[in-house]
Amino acid sequence: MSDFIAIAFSAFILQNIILTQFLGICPFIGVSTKRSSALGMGFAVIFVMLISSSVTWLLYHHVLVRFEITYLRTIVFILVIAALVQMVETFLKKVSPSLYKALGIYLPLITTNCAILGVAVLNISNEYNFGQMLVYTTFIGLGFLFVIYIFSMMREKLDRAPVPKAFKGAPIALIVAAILAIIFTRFGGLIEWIS
Amino acid sequence: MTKKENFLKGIFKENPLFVALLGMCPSLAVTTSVENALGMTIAVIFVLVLSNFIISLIMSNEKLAKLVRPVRIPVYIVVIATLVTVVEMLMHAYLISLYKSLGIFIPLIVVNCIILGRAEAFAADNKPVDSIIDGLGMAVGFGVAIVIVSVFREFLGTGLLTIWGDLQINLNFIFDFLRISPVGMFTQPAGAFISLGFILAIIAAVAAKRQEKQEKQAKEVKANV
Amino acid sequence: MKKNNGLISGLVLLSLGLICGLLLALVNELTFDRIEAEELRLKFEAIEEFYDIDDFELEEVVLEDGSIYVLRNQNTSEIEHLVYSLTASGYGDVVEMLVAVNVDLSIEGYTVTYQNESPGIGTKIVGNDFNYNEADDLSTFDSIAGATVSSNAVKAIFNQVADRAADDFGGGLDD
Repeated sequence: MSDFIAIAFSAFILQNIILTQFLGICPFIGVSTKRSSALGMGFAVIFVMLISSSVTWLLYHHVLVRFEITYLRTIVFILVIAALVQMVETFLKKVSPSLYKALGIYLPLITTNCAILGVAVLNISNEYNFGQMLVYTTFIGLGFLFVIYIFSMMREKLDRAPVPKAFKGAPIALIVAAILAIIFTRFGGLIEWIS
Repeated sequence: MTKKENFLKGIFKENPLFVALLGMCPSLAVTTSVENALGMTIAVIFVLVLSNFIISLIMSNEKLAKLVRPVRIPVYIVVIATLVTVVEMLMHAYLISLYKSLGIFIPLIVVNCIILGRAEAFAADNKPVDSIIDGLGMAVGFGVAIVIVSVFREFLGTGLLTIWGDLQINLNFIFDFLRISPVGMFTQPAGAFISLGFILAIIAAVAAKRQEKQEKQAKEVKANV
Repeated sequence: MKKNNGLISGLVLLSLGLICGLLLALVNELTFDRIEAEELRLKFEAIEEFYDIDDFELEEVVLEDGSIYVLRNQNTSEIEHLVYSLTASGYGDVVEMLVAVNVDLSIEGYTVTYQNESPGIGTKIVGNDFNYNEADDLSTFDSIAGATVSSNAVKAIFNQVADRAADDFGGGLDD
């Protein structure tokens, strides 16, 4: 159990997918201008991440490893992710039009989201078992949502602040992200101090 | 568009990182040292040039193009993923320390928007030779961009510039001269964000000044007419 | 007519996939042995920082989360040096270190082989002689670890080594 807690905490804060591991930066900068879109993107990412990580983990350990074709990992993973996103989009459209309206537009963007493929690969390289993989993926997704939401709140304020012209848009967003990154990584020191 | 223009646009006017803001994930992660940035550049050149070439070949054939068009995104993905896996294996075998440094970002070249973007925007509709030049220009442009960021970060963070393996340039004397020490933060995540943010701001400022100048000149021409 | 086209497109994709799969299998065959050799070489390169491997009999004892490289005298088979490859949790990720210990429990040196809390920062922090018996004061490790690698992780690893070094030299590994 403490193993799971350690993984969860690490995934959420210490190894935060955006601020520490640099995955998912494109939607982070691109979609975080409004709170509602950040929320939508965050949930869509969690959803797709969980499904794709589970499927790719199973495929890797039960097919690729067994037939000794692990070098096909990248190609299989990205195709699975692309196919899953397509299926989820179609499924949502039919089953829940309201949900589709809320999340649907973000789905195509997610295919090339490095966070999705990145987490799938990380689950393998960290050598997690199925349970650890689920915990890790969930909290990575929650960490993504958390950061992108906080960031969107800041950006809404930034839009109305007197920012020098050259810094408007991406540059000031990145600098604010830097401050967030410092806060997140220093949490590690807090944990060390406590334990 | 001449061949030269085709090549240079990837470096200046349409620089994938500085202008189109694509490929930010690897730009933040691999710019901790010039060596890593150069290594990533080599991998991206390999993948982008070959993927543009192959996809252009496929789409140049009339019949094949018609068949591929409905499934063209999966086709692009398969081609790019294959090339990336080849690069991964070659790096693991012949450049193992670079492989370990770049880590997860080698397979992530697959989802680097630059490569899929050029395939869809250029290679699919242009001739193979032009596509190669476009790919080369874009990849070199990306490389120039991440090397600039990495020079910034590595110099400010450690005072050294690691070009390749043991080939290092020690610029610590500059710090000694100014009586300060390197700021370690620049090699960490926060420093990555700040570096890229400042560099993008500088570029935006330069571009704005240039536009101001052009507008002023245009006004003067109008006034004189 | 429309259905046929869809099927053919699918077949084109499938055949492309097969061609690529075969190509990858080929490259895999060609590089497999070299990759294995390179990985092994990296491991030994790290040990070579401390000792010349050719002078000894090298054996690897695999532990739960690390391993011990045992260097025995080529003639007497007595253990002369132990190189511990251990991990401990640092700020964000694990920290992996090699600690080279001699028979008299003095530390030949140590180097960080993996840390991810400061991505990109070099991993070679090789230290000098350090007689472990005299080192009651583990606080001296702070100055070695510095700000780039979690000092707690480094301390934890040295503690692990301290706990088992005497045993291992005295025969604790002979099983």
